[in-house]
Amino acid sequence: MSLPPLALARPATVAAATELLRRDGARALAGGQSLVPLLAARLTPAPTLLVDLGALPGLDAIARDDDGWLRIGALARQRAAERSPLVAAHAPLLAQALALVGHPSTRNRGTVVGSVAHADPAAELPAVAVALDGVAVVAGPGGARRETPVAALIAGPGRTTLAPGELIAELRLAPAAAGERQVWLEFAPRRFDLPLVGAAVRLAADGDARLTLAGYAEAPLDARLGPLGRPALEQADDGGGPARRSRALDRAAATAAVERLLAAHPPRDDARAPAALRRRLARTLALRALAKAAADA
Amino acid sequence: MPDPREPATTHEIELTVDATTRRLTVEARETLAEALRERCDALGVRIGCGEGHCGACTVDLDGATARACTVLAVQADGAAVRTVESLAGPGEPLAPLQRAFREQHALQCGFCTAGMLMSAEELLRERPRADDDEIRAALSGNLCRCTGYQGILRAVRAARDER
Repeated sequence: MSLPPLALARPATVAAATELLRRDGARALAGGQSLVPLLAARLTPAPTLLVDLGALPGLDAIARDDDGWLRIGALARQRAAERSPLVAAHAPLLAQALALVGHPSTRNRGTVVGSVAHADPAAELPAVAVALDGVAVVAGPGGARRETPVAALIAGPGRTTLAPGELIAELRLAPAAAGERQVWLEFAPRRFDLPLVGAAVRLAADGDARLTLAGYAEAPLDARLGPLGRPALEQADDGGGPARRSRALDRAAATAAVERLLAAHPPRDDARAPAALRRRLARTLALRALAKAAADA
Repeated sequence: MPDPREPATTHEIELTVDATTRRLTVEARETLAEALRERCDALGVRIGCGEGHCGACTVDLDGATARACTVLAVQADGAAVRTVESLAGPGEPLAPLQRAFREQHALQCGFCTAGMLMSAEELLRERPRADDDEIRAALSGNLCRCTGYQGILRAVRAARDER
């Protein structure tokens, strides 16, 4: 068999799952689309116990809180989020990125939260979660519950600050503000492969811009670029349709801000891509994404 | 029967494979692809890389495609699995999609074909008017080392247009 010998449990409650996850060599299994291939290729130290979260009830919801934030349960599949009207309406960045995560057959199984917890530096979803001010609702032994920003959760490649016994029960994402534009762009040598670099842009109605990069550093690189555009102006549509918002991107300011950010943070350099290529891809993708966000009307 | 909630290296599961219900004792580390081939004689499921790269083992799991080598057999407890054998039974004429693959030379060695068919079937079920870009995206997780993909694209287009 492909996988190394191990034991597996399918707890029926979050409390039982957290108790099992306290054991030495225990590891949580959700959709398995990152973990099972790694285990089959023997590229990760074999856990002695897989705690399959798949039987936990009520964790597959995609919903909206009273305060407007999106709630994505630990077992919500990427495919469900991709097709969710709530995600399309309130987190267009996530919807755009999901279309490029893996393939239909992997999105059918893989979970949004699992990908965030896997913390692959090149993956789309950890960067998207950071860009959307994601907060992980963490369940721990003894019914403990805490909330932590995803930016603080991700400690490095494949590493999180989760303690033994803890699991992410739910991910909360900030909804897009009125008039905000969100754009995800990425470059992969082959489409649908893990990108070398991905860029998330949030452009506020007042021209304030934020950039989050996947694949560039050891963890998502998240920065506010400041005001890069003139505030949105209401314009009459040529066809006499509803008023259209348009804004002009200050290209010189955008270029300067992106270059300043990249100069302050050295890119990763590994077998997939040298640092110089990552820097160039990041610059190009960031400026294209900013331009697209400004142009989208 | 052992309690699946407790850690164990073997588990008992029940699943439906191409409309036949199976009760199996599987290893915790056993993939669905391995269980289908070795315990259910579902030899239409091909194991190419066994590591989630090639898509040859793609099956329908509860109505949506999955790579059977990236799903543990235990995770498929209670599920309904459809393999390529479900498209046309023994002695039955080929399904339109299968016929299109033959007519359009969409296979040479055939090792990837079962997975290609399952991915293409899901696409045409969900998007009966899929355009080329959607076909390419739907088949992006299925590698073929023989054909160069053009025959496969022609076959899916032909099956789409026949509907």
